[in-house]
Amino acid sequence: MLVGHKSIGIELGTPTSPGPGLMPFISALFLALLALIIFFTRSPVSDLKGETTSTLGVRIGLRALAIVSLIIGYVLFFKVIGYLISSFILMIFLFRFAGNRRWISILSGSLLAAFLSYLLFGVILKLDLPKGVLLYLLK
Amino acid sequence: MEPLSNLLTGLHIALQPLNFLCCFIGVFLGTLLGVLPGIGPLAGIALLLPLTYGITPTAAIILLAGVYYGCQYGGSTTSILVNVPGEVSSIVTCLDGHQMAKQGRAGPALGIAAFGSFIAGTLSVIGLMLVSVPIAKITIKFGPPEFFSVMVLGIVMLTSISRGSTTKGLVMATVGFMLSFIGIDLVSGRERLTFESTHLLSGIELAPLTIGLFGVSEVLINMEESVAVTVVQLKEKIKGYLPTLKDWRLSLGPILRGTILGFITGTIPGGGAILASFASYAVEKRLSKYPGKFGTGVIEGVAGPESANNSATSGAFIPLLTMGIPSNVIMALLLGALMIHGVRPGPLFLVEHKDIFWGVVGSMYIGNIMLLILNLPLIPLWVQLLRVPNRFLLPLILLLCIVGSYSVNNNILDVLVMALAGLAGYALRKLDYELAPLCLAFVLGPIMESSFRQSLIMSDGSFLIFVTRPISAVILSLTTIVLVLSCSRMKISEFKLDS
Repeated sequence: MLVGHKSIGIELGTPTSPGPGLMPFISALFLALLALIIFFTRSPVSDLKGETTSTLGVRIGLRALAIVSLIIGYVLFFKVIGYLISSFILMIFLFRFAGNRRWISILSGSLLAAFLSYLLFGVILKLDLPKGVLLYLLK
Repeated sequence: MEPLSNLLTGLHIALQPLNFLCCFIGVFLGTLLGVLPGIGPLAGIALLLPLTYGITPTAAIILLAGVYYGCQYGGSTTSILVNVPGEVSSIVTCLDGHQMAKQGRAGPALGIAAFGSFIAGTLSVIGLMLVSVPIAKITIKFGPPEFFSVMVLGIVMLTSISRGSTTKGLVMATVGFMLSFIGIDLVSGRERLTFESTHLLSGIELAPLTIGLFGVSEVLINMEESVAVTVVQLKEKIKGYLPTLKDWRLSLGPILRGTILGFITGTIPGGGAILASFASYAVEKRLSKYPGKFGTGVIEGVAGPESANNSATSGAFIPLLTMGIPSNVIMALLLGALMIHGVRPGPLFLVEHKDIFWGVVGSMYIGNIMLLILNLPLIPLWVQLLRVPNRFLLPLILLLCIVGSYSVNNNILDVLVMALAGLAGYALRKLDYELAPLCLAFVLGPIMESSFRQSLIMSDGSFLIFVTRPISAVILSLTTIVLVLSCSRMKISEFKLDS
């Protein structure tokens, strides 16, 4: 509905001269129609199985949510603290979430992953990875 | 003689140092991705997409194509040795391949999979070479309405063979279209669906979206479903990769049939390696003198599907390179990669970008030879790799996804797009929504929109242009039949479930 509303605002044009909003508007209408079909054709069997009615929140694993939140946190601090430190911290959490129990392997694995990936992408492939606070420390 | 001289030119292009290196990296990484359960060619190609931005379009397509057909080779290794399909198109190989391994015949199973793939790969490239030019000559007569109709058919075919309901597939395709409209409209220069965000002015990038949808969601799902790999066979040394004369006699028919079937399946919109391998297994079982033995370690059950899935990868290039229409989602990613380089495949592609087309064809010959040489001696290495636990592998893949998304524009917001797409992909897969139609529609969206608008301008605003032009009308009729058949199939299965 939001896309449909926005499309009208953009300009639908006329059939002889279609505007930029025409395709988004048609897509929005089609999506609304499909949503209605799904709503009215839900079978009791699938309700019982819980395949179509179960809410998103229930079915999304907490671990997946936590990992994505971690990446969002990584995005926020990436420029400030730099690639090496932020990746090292991220990898500690990721190794832990993936089921590693021994802290020594988590820490060494994270350090290696952050360092080697920097070496590969930042040094060899010359990707512009931010140095962040390390730049000031090195100065 | 023309195809032969073109092939020689193609081989010359493919043997240039950068192209040769890309071919090697592609097939090597492809095999690696095929071997690793859970990480398929889609996630792999999405992950490698940003790396291709800095190289020539020919090298980019050679690399990504190498990953695609390399994956088909690698997938059989895990299917045969550990009964876990490394790749979806290798699911059927588990049935007889693993049984052969249990009977101490892992070597011949791996051998026939590799030789079958090589024969099928090489023959299908010859098919690609011979069929592409005539098809391109036919499609040159296509106008915007025909292209629009073919693209609609492709999306409908893909949604109809997708897991889950067709309606859900269509929902995903529509969402894909909507996402493709975000940004500035190239015709009018007006902002669309940007919600006043300057970051969305250039639209959503293909690489972060696909890395998130396929790569990140794959990792998230794998993190909760740890694959229990039984390594019974891996403790023993695998010997005798060369199939015996009897094995060859039994396998030659399935290999040739699989090649033809795979090639045809690959060209069908919505088809591809997965459909090809299942179809080949069904055909071999039906033609066999002992269908009851299928599933107990019959070599034909390995040779046919493994040849078919490899042959399908070459077949899939025909609609992409001659019409500019990807037949499956992997081809959609390749189309995206070409478009990023400013190359638009279509009927004139073979004339305007002869070097890319013949370079890719040449690289496929070389790539298939590389795979044969690489595959069998490297099996012990792949086996060792299978021992690396997921708890180490998955976080590393996630880090690669992050760096891959960032590298597109050196923009950290692309990582945010990737993370959100990853969460969305994870949730949608849990709710049985197929992601492939979304991705295909996202790539085709701008082309479809321009064809649609051009058609309306051509017809003075009449929507009837799509049904009054004969070719377009035939394609749309076919689309309707596919849609009706898939909806009725859905209803029948619901009815069976009810009763």
